[in-house]
Amino acid sequence: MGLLLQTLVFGVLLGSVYALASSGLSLTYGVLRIVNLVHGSLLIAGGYVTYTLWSSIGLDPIASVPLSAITVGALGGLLYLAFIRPAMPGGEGGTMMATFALMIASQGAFALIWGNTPLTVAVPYTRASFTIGELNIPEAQLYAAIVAVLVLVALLLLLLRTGLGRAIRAAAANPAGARFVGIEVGRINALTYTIGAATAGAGGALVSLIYPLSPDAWAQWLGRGLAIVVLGGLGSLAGTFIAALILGILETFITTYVSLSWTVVVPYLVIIVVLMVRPTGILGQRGRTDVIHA
Amino acid sequence: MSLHHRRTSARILAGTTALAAAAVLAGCTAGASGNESDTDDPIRIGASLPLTGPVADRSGPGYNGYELWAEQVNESGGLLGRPVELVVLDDGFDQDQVVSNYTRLISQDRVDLLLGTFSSALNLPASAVAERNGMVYVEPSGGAQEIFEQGFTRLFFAQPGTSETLPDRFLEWVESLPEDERPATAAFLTQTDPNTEPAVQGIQDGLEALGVETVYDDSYPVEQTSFDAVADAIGRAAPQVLIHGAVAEDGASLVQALQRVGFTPEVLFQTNAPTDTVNYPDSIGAENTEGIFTPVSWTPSAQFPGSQEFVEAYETKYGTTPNDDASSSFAAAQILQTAVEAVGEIDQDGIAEWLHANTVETIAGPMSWDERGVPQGSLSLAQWQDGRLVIVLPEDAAETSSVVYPKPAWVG
Repeated sequence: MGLLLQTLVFGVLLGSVYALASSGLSLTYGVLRIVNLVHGSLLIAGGYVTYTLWSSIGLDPIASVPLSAITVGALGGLLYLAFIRPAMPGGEGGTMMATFALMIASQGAFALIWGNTPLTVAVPYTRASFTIGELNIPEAQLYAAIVAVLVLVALLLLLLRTGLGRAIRAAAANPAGARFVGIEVGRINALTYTIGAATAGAGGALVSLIYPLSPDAWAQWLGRGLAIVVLGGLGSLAGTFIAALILGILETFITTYVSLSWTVVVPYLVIIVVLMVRPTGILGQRGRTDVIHA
Repeated sequence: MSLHHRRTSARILAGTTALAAAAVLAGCTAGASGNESDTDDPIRIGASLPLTGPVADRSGPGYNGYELWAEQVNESGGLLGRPVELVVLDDGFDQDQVVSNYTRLISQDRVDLLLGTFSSALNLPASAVAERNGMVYVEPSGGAQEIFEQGFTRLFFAQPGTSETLPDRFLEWVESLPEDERPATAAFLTQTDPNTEPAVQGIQDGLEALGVETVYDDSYPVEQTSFDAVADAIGRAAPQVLIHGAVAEDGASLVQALQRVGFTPEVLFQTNAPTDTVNYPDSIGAENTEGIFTPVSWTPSAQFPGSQEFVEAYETKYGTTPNDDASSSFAAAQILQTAVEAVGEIDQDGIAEWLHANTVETIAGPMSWDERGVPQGSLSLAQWQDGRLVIVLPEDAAETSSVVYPKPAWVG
């Protein structure tokens, strides 16, 4: 029983961070129909920003979440205006090529700025944990999960309760109609991409607490993110959150009860099975993938 | 590219002119004339390294080792009187890329000599490219047994021993313990890697033969990044000994996870990661390194001829202490240099033959090889003590006679 609960705790903590790390990917697809291949790189950029703030002025990685989100959000906005928007007339293929190019270039940029040696944000609490009875809760993972949930709730409130959120949802559901009622769809799109990039920046700050940063680390986060978004249903934020939790829990259960060697493979096998049974993903809706379901 | 083209064209032109002149003079010294025109050209030495990718942190110091060697050789008059020039390509720790890089170095860049890459996973296919093209291949890393079972005749390993001998010193230490102090249980975890897997298996076989019970045994692919659940599982199995076949960052990641779940084994033996004397203590906490065992080919305090001078020069040039990857690549280049100088020309057959028949003095000690290229020594067992990595076995190379056992508990 203790082991079961412990495994569940590790899984939920891992899943929460996965959720934040992939929410931006879901948002950019749901609203802009952009398969944002540079998402993993934006996440790693957030990690590097956090590392730089920590190593230069000693800023705690949790405290640097807003700074990292703003920096990466701004960077994402600029990349969108400079490279991605001009590729939009080419359709989904065009934006995919643009983000693919940015993804490849980012690795070189990271290596030039931060070098190829993996960097670790070595704050003491990354090695500490709380114990409740037999239960072990890693401190850094707990903080990361709490912040991830807070950011995701803020994102949901933004989408559901604010004028900007309504505009974003309107632009996603019916761009022509949105324009007709006076919404500047172009501006909303740029803002949406910026928000997506900012969540990647926040996710990156948390990821840097738990994993070493290296220029090629984007790959595993992009792969995991795409898997989560597909599993959750393209463009569905709630589906993304559920899928991320499933993936996190699945990973830890396989590690504990099956074998570590299967951990990397089984989540993808499950995704294949889910897609065979329910091709739209958990919360995706057939024929309405252009709508962001909050 | 165009520069290289121009240089190649110039060389062909020079060779042709010499040939023509020789023909006109009715001489038969065309070959010699061709060689003379090359005397000022640098000797080009090619290598492919995983400068990016998951083991980038290991190959950086390795690259530095090559670079420092080339600089020192050039300062002291070059090799065979010619300057040496390194041609280094990046393979991103990709087996296909390393094959295409060495092929390019040989057939397109037409380098004169080759030096090896890092990790068994890359040296396995790379050594095959070299062998197929008749090139001598001295590798600074890649001690997996299967590399030496391919029947190659031009392959040489630049460390004192291979993975086959990796468990020896550690098992020797366990065996030396009085029976009532010997550990009773052990856990084994390794990345699936041609070097660490057989090494960890070797230790497991050895410990089981000594009556140590296996309570946990698992492996993971290079993509694995989350170690909390596995650290928890190991903690629950509560082994006295933990053997971890780490390749790079996974070493520090597992130790951090062990600290989080609050489990300290009495003995922790880890491959590769603990030899990174700069980043490893930073990642796991300097005081937590105490008592961790690791196999090494060399340490910065090694007393072999030239070793201290190497450390000094490396620290001056790079501002940090060299690790055993840096020393291995320096030693690999030393081996190639010694053989080329002994043979007196760039003759791949001659160099291979000479290396099979002689012993070479390197900064990691004297080395000689059998017909497979396997060095005739064994790796040493080192342990972190008081913030330094020191050799504890074999006795003749030991820098201390005391061993930390049991390992002190993690501190926050």
